[in-house]
Amino acid sequence: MGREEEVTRILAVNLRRILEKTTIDFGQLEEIRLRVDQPFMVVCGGRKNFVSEEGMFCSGEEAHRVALPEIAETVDYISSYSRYAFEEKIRQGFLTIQGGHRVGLCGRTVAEDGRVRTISPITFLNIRIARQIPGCGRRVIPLLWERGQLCDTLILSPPGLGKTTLLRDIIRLLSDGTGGQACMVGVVDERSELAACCQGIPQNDLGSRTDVLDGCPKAEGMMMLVRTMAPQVIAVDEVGSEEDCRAMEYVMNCGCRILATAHASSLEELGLRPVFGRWLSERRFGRYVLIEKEREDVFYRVCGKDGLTLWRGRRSEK
Amino acid sequence: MMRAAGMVMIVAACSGLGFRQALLYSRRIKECEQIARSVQLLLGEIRFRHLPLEEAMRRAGMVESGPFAVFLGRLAGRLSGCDGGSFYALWQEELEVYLGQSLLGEEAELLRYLGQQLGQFDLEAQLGNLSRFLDQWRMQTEELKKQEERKGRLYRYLGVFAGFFLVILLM
Repeated sequence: MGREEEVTRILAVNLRRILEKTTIDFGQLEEIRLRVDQPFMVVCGGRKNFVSEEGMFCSGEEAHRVALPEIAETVDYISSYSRYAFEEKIRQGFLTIQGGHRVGLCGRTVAEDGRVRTISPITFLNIRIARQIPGCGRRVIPLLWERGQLCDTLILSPPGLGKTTLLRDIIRLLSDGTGGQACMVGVVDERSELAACCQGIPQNDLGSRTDVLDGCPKAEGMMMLVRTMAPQVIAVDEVGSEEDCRAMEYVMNCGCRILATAHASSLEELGLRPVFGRWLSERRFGRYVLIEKEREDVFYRVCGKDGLTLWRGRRSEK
Repeated sequence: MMRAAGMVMIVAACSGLGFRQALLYSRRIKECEQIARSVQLLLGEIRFRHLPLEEAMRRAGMVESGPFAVFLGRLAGRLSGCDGGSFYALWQEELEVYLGQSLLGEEAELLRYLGQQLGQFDLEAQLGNLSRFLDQWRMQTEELKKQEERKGRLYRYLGVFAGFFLVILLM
């Protein structure tokens, strides 16, 4: 199944027809946003466009208004008519569909004992199209090594700049031994975005020496990997909770290297967060890779443990 | 000679009808048992693996045999197609096709009701609905077995005696 079909098949039949009429380059498609009674929106090449009934880019007034039944139908397809099977994911506000594309969910939350139990009805959807950019980490990877040892590395950027894409490529390169020694990599893919597993089989290329724990909570998954798969490197996406940090600390003290991503636009911003602030001053991570956007271009900045820039360069697409 | 042969044929045909009617009961029971096993598998896949209906039905359809397993496989295919329609609408459409070639009568209502319940609410409700269906289904099967015992014998005797009765009438 192609990327275009992976995305369009989960849309309500009417929205699918509208999208098929457009001249969108699916290679450039980043997001599809559905908001109840609001214009049908697609984000393409960084531009937010409203789409009319005829599939043309237009103003908000002329755009197709997304109806509640269209969102409900889309949610049915996303969840394979089985919301019960995705209870935990819905509670967390997202689902991952085939191909590793993430669907963010919003609507009326149902809380119980101060905790979100579910979202019902779901009235806002953000379908984020996952992209693989093979080779984007090629220039970064040699800088992650120091005296023959891979450094614990944290990839940082605000949402939507490609942390997961870079992490995925670094995992693949490390696993295949490109730009350094080949490593056994264990991946805890809580959101199924890195490997995009379908029935436990990765749909994305993560290299030949990679083991994947799909859909597993990060903290628990890291411990499981250390105990069972003897990895040299453990990779996790979007860490942030105290539990995640405790597990990462455990992994780092077990002789395994950590490759992780977190939301932050700078090291200063990262330092404001409790555990990360301490780690920054303790120089726990050997490398930080910051992803920065300048106009239409994406840049990678690799910093050492002291926060000084070692290299900065444009993201390579090959 | 011809007359005697005709009489034998009448008795055989009437007995055959009676036996056939009795056989319908045992086929219906066999099918009910196959359905119970399929739903039990479905319940297991959902409880243990938290699989979505499409995948759970596909697996249950592959493990079990019989027309209901084919129904599950076909429905799983419809669900993966994402071609419009609610779960219940698709269930109903496929159920009508299945019931058209099946021996089921009163059981159809229970299956329709199951379709209304599937895919709704949370995991707990899902498992509860399937368990309740299985309880009702087993009761229905037990009832069929009792009926088979009573009516099966009746149909067989009725067939044979009707044959003889017709022969006497025609003599």
